[in-house]
Amino acid sequence: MTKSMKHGPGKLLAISALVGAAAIAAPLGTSAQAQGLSGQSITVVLEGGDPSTTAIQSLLPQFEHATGIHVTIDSIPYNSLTSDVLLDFSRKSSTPDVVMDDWVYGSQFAAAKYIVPLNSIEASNTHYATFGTYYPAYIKTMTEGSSVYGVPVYGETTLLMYRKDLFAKYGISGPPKTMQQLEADAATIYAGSDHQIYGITMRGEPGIQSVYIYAGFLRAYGGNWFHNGSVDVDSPQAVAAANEFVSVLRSSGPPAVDTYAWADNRIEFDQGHAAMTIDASANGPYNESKEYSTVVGKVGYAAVPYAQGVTPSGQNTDHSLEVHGMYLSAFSQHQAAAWAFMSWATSVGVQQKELTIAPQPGLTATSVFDSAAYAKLYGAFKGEMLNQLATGNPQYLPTGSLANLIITDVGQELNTALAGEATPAAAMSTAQANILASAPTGG
Amino acid sequence: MQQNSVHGTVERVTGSKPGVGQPTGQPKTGRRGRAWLRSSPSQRRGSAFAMAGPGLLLCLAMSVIVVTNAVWLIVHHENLLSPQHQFVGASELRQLLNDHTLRGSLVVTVVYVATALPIEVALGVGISLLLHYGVRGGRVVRSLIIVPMVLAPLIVGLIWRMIYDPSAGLLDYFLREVSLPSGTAWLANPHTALWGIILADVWQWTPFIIIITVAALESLPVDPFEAAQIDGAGTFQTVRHLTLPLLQPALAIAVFLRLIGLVNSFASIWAMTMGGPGTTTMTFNVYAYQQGFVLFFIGYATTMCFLYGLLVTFGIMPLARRVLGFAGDDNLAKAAA
Repeated sequence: MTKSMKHGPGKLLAISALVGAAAIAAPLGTSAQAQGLSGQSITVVLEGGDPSTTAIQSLLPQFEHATGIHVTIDSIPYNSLTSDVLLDFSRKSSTPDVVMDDWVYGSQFAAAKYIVPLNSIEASNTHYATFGTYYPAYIKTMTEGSSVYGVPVYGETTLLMYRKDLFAKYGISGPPKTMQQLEADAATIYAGSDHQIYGITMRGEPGIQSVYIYAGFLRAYGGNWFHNGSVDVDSPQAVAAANEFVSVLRSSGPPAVDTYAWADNRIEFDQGHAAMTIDASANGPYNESKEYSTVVGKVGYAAVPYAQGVTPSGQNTDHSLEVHGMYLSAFSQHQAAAWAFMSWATSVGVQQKELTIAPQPGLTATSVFDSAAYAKLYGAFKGEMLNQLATGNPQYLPTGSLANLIITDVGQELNTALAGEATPAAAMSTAQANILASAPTGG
Repeated sequence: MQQNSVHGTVERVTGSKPGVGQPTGQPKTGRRGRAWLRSSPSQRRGSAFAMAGPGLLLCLAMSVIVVTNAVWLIVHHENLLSPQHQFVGASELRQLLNDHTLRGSLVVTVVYVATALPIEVALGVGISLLLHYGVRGGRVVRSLIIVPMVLAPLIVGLIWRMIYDPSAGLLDYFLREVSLPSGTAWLANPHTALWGIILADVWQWTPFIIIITVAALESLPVDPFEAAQIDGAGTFQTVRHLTLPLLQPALAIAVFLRLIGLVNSFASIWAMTMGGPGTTTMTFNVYAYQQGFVLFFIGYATTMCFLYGLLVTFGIMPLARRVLGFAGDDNLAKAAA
């Protein structure tokens, strides 16, 4: 924090945010006291290591001072967060009161009635934020029927990130427009660099890591997770997508790609070892930061291409629209205090200050998106990111009661195919069979 | 049996060359000790139960609670993401029988245990003999040998994951330095991944075998060795026919404990490969964790673990019986003869 604040714009931004926060904190103190919230204690589970968590933790004393609500933050790594929370939910524990997690899991918490709709509680206390504060697509994603189940903490889309300098060096005119061209470009650079630069790197670790990226390929080939309400992960489109995903990584990707999670992939690209990657827009700030990256200013951003002959249909472009939110536990004994915290943690004031505390392009308040400070920090990829978010597909990843089963089984089998232990077609067929075998009783 | 064992211990102590802290004759027994020795077997049993009773009751109560909960989970096919509490009877057991991945994970577990255990024992005994017979630098090695053991398995997994990294790993660096083929993704290659996790386990747990074996070597009686020396036995013959048989009781305990450790291995494997690539390193525990805490089929995972626990317990039982009631004196007698 202090390092960022030494710089002029950051300092100005921080001062304005402080003034803004101070301005809204005092009335809320009165409001909280009027509602009898002062003196209450709540427990909150946040995603460990996430920039939003860092910012919220550092600003928390202001909230506690203003409201008299005591907040205990339990910061848990993303990979183990859901299982930890589910153990509490299944015991109907009154803690945690608030949970932050991926909407992929949030949608399942809602289906299991572990979390409650926020509509009525939002109407009762609009001090820090209302649903109108947030980027509409994010709120829409977390809405089932007319019930809104979460407030968005951060959101993202997936982008094709490519090395403009390498593309120029190897005579490639611009980012690939089709999946076939993407594979050809990757092969050109890998061969042209005498195998010193990988053509592309992506996440290959089993589970959500690889499935999040593979989903882009599935959509690019016109596939879907379901067909007429039934699981359909071995459709011809899905097999073609898996073929492409496996083929491009095995022919032009890093040898250990099937163990890569988000950080491994980002580091591989930011260290200049690969010409392309497809990953979350959250990678943008890392690519453009001299602290993390050796390729600052050399990265171009583009949409994930479609396969040749495939055009998007329906109301969206099938690009990723991913959101992580905060949810209110159905077993919380302090729901009003919990809402006060949730609306504060995602308020415009806090999000403005996040811009100075930690790199976070996935902020969710519309006014922050539109601010000059945001444009100054994330101008390199803001346009492409917002274009994709505006037409993103909330069902880009599977949602609903079978979501986790699909993600786990497809991720496992993709990994098997990446390791060369099965053909992509056989792997997807196995995934389909495993899901159907588990779904009737397990799903 | 217990009496024989007690007398055997006394004889062994008196037959040994006295060392630091070792008694030189009959062990001293206080008034209570003598009263204990004079009491009848039934009185001893009664006293033993009175002393162990509270602890046993507590263990029993805990076991009943855990087993009852487990059975409830099993017959309700509990899924944390879809809590329906629906009674399904024995359907989980039928699902187990048709689970190909489970069968594969059991095979991987057997290969993992059957490969790692002999390597750890062979290396452990070999290094112990070198240390015992005064190899140069032995003292330093003895001090450092404990380091891998005190690390958490998760940390060990992360360390070895970094060592195996194909672009920045230590292993790759050394291979490049000696002009051997490098750049292999050891943990991402189905042909090498299992060996990778076995090597990590060998690195962490061979020291355990060494510590037990060195301690046992230093407490061996000297008389049989002196006799062997007088009879003209060479080093190899002495080790083969005297040292190793005398080490058998201590080694049995070490093997027993390592066997339990290996069949329970999880954290280091999860940190290194998460069971991949594909299912190449998916041991039973990794698969059970995936079912319980990734898919949240907690009922199915409990069923698997329940049966696995029974399988392992009954599989290890013969060894446990042998270890807990080992015939150390018989070995001594055989060696002396």
